Amino acid sequence: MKNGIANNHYYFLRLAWAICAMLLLTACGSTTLALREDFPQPLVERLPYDVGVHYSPDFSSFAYAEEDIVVSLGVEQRRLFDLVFSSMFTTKSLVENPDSQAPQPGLDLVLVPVLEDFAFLTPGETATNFYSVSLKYHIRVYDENTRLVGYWPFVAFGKNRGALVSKKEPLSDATNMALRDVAAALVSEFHSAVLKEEWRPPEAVARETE
Amino acid sequence: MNLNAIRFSLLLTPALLCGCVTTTVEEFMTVAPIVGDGEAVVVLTNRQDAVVEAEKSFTECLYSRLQPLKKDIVLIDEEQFKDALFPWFEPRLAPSRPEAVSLLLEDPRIAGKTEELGVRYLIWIHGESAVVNKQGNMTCSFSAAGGGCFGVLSWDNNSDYEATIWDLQESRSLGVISSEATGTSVVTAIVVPIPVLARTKSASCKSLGDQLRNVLSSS
Repeated sequence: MKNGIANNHYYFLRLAWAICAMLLLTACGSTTLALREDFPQPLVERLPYDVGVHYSPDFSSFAYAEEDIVVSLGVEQRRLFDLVFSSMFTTKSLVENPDSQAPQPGLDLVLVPVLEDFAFLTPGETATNFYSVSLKYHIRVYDENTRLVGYWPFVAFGKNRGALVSKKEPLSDATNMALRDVAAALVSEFHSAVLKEEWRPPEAVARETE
Repeated sequence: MNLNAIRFSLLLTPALLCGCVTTTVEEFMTVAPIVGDGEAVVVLTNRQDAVVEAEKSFTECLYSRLQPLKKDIVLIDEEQFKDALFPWFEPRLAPSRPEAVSLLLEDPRIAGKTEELGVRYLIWIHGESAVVNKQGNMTCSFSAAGGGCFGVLSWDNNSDYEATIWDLQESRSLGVISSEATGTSVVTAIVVPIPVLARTKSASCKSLGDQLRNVLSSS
């Protein structure tokens, strides 16, 4: 009997140590955000353009790390842009080098999306109950002769209420919401910009990249 | 006798641990919704306000309160609706007034999807629960010999939500139902802290859910 009590005691002590170790490891390790892998098909009017899209290696493999937060956004954002552009234009194909001087046969436009900045704010920083995420992009627009004709900047936002224990879930949800906002911006504002050819002139691109 | 006293106190404990909550429900309906058989209703969280947004737990609670709706009325999940009409109900593009819905429905793709889902009414939920007026003090200390807390803490809980009902077919707002619940939570500690919590969010969810169910089921 005494032996049984001692065993129980030992068991609970080991359990307590295991929980403490787990908590310590959780506190020390980094948090990788869980991003949504599939997005719904956007409902958008198809524009009569055959477009080429170039994704730079930086864009396709974009990752962000700050303190204990790690966000691997490259694959998801590429998948999202692919999905939206496929729904928005008559045809969409991949272009290897948009800066080559050779004309791109069969293409009306070549689009190059660039992620300029990923940023997030915690509830403490905004004095609200929300985590917020912003994604700052621009899309370079080339014509069929690979001449840079302009660029179109936009910022996507997402926010989600903070949780008591973990910041992984609210930050993941806020980032997923920001990605969905990217689709909203492309389907409405970029769609209209393409239709009216309303984008900022190439001189502005030069100023931005200086 | 002692056993009876223990049984009595065990029964009394949950009642003591829930603080008093006062709930006010107000209904401003211009037209009562008439939900036809097979027509669907969607409950959506209004996310366009930068500071105030209904908690996920509140909309989930409201959804479960609305579940036993009148026979043949379909309740569509928010995510399912937003995915089907992606991205037109994301915060950037979601219509902020019912008249804007008619513009949205001019697009045959959006109109077709809405018709396919059978959605007739949208219920926008706006509001939140907040803790205000924190008072009191409590200190806790622990040592190898044991530990305990001493003091009193109190705060006011306020849950304020409103549900705006839009008729998609008529592109107009039918009215607003609001629910406000207030209460004071207290934690008293003499060695062991005893919380008496005012559960205003669940009270607000219950009253708003019941009122919405009455309105939608009355037709």
